[in-house]
Amino acid sequence: MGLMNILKKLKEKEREIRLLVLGLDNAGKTTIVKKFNNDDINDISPTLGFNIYTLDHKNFKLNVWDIGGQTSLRAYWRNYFENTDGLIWVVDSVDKLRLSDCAKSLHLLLQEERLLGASLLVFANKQDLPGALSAQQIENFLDLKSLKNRHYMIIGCSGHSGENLLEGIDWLIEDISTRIFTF
Amino acid sequence: MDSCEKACVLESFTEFEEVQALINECINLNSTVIDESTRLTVESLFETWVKIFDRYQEQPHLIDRHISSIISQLFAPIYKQAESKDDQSPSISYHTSCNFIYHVSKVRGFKNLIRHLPHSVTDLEIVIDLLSKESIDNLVTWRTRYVLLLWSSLLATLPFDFKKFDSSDDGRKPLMVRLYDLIKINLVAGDTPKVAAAVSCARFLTRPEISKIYLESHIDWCLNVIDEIFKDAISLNNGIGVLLSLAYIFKFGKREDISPFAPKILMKIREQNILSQSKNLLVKIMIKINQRAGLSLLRIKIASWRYQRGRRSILDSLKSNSSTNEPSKVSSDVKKSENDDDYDDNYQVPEEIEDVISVLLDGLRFNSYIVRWSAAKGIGRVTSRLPRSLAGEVVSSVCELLSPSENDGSWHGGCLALAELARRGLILPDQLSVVIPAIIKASVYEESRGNFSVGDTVRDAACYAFWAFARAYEADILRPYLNEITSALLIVAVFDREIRCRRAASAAYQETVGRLGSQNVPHGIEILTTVDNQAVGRTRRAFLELSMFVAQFNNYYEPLIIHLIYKKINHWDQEIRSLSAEALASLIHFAPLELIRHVIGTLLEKTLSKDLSTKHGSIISLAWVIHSMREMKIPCQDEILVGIQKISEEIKSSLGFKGIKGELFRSAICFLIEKISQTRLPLDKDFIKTCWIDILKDCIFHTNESIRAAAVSGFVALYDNYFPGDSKLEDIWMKHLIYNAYSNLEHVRCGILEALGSLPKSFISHDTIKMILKTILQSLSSISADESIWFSWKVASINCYTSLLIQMNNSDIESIRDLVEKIIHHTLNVAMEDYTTSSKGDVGEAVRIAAIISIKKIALHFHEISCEILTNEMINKIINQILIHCVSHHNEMRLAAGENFFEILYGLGKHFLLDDLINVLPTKEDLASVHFRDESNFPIWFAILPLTQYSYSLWKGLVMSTGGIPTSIVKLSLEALLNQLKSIKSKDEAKFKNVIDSFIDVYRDNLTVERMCLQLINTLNSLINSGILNDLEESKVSSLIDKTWEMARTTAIPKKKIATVQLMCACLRFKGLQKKCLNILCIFLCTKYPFVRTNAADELYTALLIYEDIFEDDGGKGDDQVDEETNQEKALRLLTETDWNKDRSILIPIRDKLKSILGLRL
Repeated sequence: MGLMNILKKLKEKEREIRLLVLGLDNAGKTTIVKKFNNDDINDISPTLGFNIYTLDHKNFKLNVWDIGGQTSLRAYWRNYFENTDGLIWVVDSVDKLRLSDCAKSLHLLLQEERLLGASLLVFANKQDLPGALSAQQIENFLDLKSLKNRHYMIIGCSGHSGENLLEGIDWLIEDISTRIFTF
Repeated sequence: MDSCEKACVLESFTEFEEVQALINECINLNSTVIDESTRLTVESLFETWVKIFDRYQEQPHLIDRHISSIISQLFAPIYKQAESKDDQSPSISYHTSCNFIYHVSKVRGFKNLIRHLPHSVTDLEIVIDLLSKESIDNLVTWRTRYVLLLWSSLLATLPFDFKKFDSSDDGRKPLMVRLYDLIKINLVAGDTPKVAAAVSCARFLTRPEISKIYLESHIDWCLNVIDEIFKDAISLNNGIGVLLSLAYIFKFGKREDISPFAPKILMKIREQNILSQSKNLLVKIMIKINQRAGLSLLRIKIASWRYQRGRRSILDSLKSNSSTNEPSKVSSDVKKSENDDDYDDNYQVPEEIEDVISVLLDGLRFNSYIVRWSAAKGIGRVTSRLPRSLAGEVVSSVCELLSPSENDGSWHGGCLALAELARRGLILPDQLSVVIPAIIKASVYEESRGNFSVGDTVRDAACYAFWAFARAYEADILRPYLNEITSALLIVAVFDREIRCRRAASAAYQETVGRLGSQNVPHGIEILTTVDNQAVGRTRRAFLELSMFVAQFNNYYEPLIIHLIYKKINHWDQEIRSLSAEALASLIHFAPLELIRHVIGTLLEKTLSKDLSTKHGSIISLAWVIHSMREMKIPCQDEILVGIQKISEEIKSSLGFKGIKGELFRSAICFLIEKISQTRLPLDKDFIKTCWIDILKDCIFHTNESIRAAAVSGFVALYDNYFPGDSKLEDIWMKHLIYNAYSNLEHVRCGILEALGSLPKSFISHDTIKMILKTILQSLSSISADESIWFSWKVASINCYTSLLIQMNNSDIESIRDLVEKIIHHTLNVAMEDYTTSSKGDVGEAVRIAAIISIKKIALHFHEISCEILTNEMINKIINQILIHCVSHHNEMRLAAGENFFEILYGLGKHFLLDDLINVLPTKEDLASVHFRDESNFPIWFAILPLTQYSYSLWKGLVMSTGGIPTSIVKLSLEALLNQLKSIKSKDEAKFKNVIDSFIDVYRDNLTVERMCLQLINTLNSLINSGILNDLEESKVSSLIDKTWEMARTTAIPKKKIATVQLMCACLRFKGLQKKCLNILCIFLCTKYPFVRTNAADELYTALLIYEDIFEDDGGKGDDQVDEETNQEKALRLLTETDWNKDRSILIPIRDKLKSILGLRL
């Protein structure tokens, strides 16, 4: 395989981004992905297993893996870590009771070696509901500032109305695309 | 991109509707029983499917948009199959669907396809049930197994505990046991599904709850399989799947889960000495396992510079240099935390890693490309997890591969590994001073192996390394080397022999400019836009044009010139030597005097080399360079004159050399003489007369045409520049030529003619020309048997008299008018109809082509000087004679005839009443798009058919195409002819008659011409069978039959007899001629040749079936056998029952019986 072949393959790969959507159950992961993909969001039930979406956005091909968040499923998240470019962590901003559970899960996840290089986007979801904590508050709660060696952004959003979804994803893609392929 | 490349690039997946139709058909295949017709349908469906998708092999991503829809539809039959009862045999649409999916995965890659497969919780049981019904012994349905296994690999990632899936305890084994068993069976099956099985296996075994149960035992199994394979390579095929599963486990597995097993795997690899194997595939997998097992022992490190070097795609970074991302929301105190020095210090590298690296380093030298490639990637990945000091050691070890004592394989592996290391930024700045010069050396690596060389893969890999440096390193780090790197890349981009290397270098140069910024590579943008992928594609252009373009910047001329004189003018490929010499001469114009002196010195030294290529290349380079120096008005030093004399004397004394050595010496020295003469270098005239003239005298009679040509141009240049008008030299030369005029060697005669044809104008008198022309004509009109196949001599004769004629003026021509007319007559009637064949094939073709070119030149010249010989009548004759060849079945012939025909037509047409032709033929502008070699161009010419004065000639030429070989020509020309005839007939019946009459004339006149006979009969046969002649007067057909029969009766060539048989059968459609034809056919039934007899019987049988009306007249005659068989049945029975191979005495009575049944007189 000569350089011209390597370049041809690379050109395809450079345009493909693999995103992993995780978070506790009922955080609104599937709603966010579906809303972003312009699908109907009225009839969404808990994700049993996982969903894969292939979206074209900004000249990139996004392979989005949306994995169920129930406690029993979390042990299996690791089945999907390989080659992940970006991680989307979805938080239910209203569910204050489980915020510490949420923080623990996230930090555990971020220790995973295979996700070391992945950019992190935190969606503080359900901002349209009364009593929602602000993105700022959640950032503090999740102790994101303690993260080392990780590009991240947190943004308040609403999967229901679609508010800020585009902004979040755009940041993620921009961040991923401004770093170079090293493998 | 070349235009043809462009044509192959597809824009989008355009066949979706077709694919949808195939899917619908596949889904609707209801039957479960495979009979012959469904088998054929299914096969053709799959074939169409394959054909469509294979078009996208180069750009598979175009399918992506549709894959989801395709897959989900194709899964319907699979689900349906799952619902059916156990005892039912599987439906055809189920297997067909799987075949379709398999092929999509083959084109798009299974990794990509997998994510489009369904993955609901209930699918797991379905896939296990279906898979358990597929036998690994079934050779037809392996694609089904492949697809099911691939599906199972996705389902194996479902985030549920598998125990929950077991719907009931119905006594069956738990699902996970069943799945693992099925996977194992398929792993050792040895056919293609093993790959899918390996993926599925690894996915399954790396699940958290499963790995605890099965992983250890599976790895032990793998280790056993390794032992078996290395003991006995026969089991390799069945073991590959198992080894693959091991490789995938180490790819997918969580590091903590798998690393405990790594030591014993690595131990096994060390024990078995895997590189001693010769099976490339096996070694490659073992190298991969070695790499991944090693990786599992090392922590992951993330490259700290990957954000700084910015943008995945070079295009993006070129586009948006300005755009910066908002750092406000990004928490990345890059500076502090990404400094990984502290990481290095307290990190203990497991001792196994040393072995892992040593295996990988050995893999880089392995004699298979795929192994080296895999090892290089392994080196890159493993090193990326090592502390700096260790990484540095790896780099040093890799560099050692680029040493003169290593072979091309090691150099290649070394470059690949350095590229992989550079890509990850693992080569430390202080090592660059060693690494970069090594890669520069590799970028021009070439090992000659006689008439070919190795090293293009090395040079390509060196470009890859430079590309990688540009991507991963800051300009600040590379700056000290940038000039060297860009020079090296540009040298490869313009001066490599291989297109792939030139393209690779061009791409690497683009990356260098794009990543490091044009401020660091002066004129980078200008160069990269000119020396682009497309431009470097053509060798000549790269060597001569692009090199000149590059040379004007940054003093690049110097490395380019140095490269040429040390690496290219001595290249093993003569073509490259010549191009290099020419390029060198051009580049000299940029160089300062000092460098030019150096070049000259080096060249002079190299002319004395013992190496043939070096000697040849340096002589022609010297010739070119001196020529350039003259243009630049640089005075020539004495050492050059001495050098030229020295090399000339040396070659003169070695003129005895035969073969390639003699040819190279001669062509080089002739070229030198020509070029030096043109510059009028102050050489000693005595030297020229004694040495150079002697050399030229020898070369002018050489067997090789190109050497003779070089000698001719050498002499002309020498005479014109050193001895213009010198009668003594003229004498010597002419005597030399005339003295050998009666040689019985073809090449000597050719040499004389070629020399005479190009004599300087001042040299020869009118009388000499007259004498030469006369002699040529004489020798051409009394050709001996030996001479008749001397096509080169004939061509040389034609060229000689042509070139003499076209330099004469009107009065000179007038004074020898008789002679000139005879020559033209010879050209038109003898040379242009030279169909001589020899053991070399149609040797007359070269003569015919030469004659066509000759007559064109003469006609255009005569027209220019308004010579009276050129009359309307003669033009008409010329046009007609060339037309014959315009529709030839030889592509080259059509090309020569067509081009010259139009030159004459548009050069002289207006003056010689050729308007009728001009009106029906393509215009001058349209001609640009006509390729005369292309066989689909026949219709152009057929427009001439209705023109009475040309139709005879046209027919004469085209029957060779319509009735000859090859079939493709026959088909296209015949189709075009019939279309044209139909159109003429429908418009103008009388004209049609004339056209056909012309054909009949051609037929009658030429049937006895050996080379045309069969073609004429075949063409007539085709015309009759097409029905276009159905209204033709039977008397005309009858006369053609007579003519043919006359020929067929006496010929001894069975092919002609058989063609006649077919013609007679075809003529049965003419009611009034039936008796005549049947009589002739009956004669053939008892002819001398058994082969013809059986053929006649077969043909007659078919004909009697078709033309039932033969029996109409005598329908009542068989009245004594009212209720028995009819005459037709009797005749047919007689024809089939008889063995027509038998002796003729037995056959004659049978034939007579047949005749009476057919109502023929005995």
